Amino acid sequence: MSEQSHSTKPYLLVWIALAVLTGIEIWAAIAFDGTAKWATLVALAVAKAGAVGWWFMHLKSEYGWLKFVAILPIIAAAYAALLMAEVVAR
Amino acid sequence: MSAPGAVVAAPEGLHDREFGPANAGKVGMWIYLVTDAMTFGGLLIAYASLRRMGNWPDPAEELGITISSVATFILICSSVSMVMAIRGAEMANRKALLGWLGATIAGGVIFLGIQYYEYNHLVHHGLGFTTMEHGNNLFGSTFYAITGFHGLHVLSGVIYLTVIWIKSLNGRYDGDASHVEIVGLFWHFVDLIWILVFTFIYLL
Repeated sequence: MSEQSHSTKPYLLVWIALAVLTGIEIWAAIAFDGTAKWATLVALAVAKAGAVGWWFMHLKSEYGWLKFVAILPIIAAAYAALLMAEVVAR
Repeated sequence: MSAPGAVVAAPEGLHDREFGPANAGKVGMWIYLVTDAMTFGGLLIAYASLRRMGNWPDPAEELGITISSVATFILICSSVSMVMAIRGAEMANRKALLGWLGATIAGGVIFLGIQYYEYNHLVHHGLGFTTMEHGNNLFGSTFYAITGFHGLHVLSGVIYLTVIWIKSLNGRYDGDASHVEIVGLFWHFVDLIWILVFTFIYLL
């Protein structure tokens, strides 16, 4: 029982963190405007998505090529950000 | 001898050099999820490009964020219940496995119910797939395409989880969490994508 409690504790902490960050997101969407709103919301979304991948999807404990495969979309996201920067600067 | 259809893990101490202890099913699911992430990425890039074209309504005003916030919270909760289900399978605790899997399925069904209610409400207020009464038609097209594609994933996840739940009834996964972990990867991915969709489509 104690082993189970020990192993589930990090997940409950991540759950609380995700709920709190979602609350902050909703508040920021109402309170902020312009660049501050974009920067805050994108940073929070990336942090939340990262937490789900790292802890819930166990990327934290994977290694070798599996970790590399899993982070491929991040490379694609960087490419997308580059494309969007070009659209914005046009 | 493993049961038919079992995901065969590498024997203890004989981990694959490239993928460690991950079994073939897990690696396969990860590769699928990566390609799926690319698809969502393409849709979100298209959304951003079209939005830059101008005459874009304020999403928070048009869609409202109360209902989607509730849906977000439910998906986050279902991710935790999914993790607890995996723990139940690992510890051969069938009661816990069935209970937490059931809670995860319930979360998915509630999410789909909320999405149905939301679509119904928006359509009655003039936001169709190709038409919008007070703004750019592309707003509706991109909204329904992206959230609908995600909803299809939730539906697939609910069906997938239900199959696992039924198989769990006779102890198929007692002490063997491999299949439960694989369906968990899919479910967490659905949650991860929604986190991004919620931000980009509803909040920004």
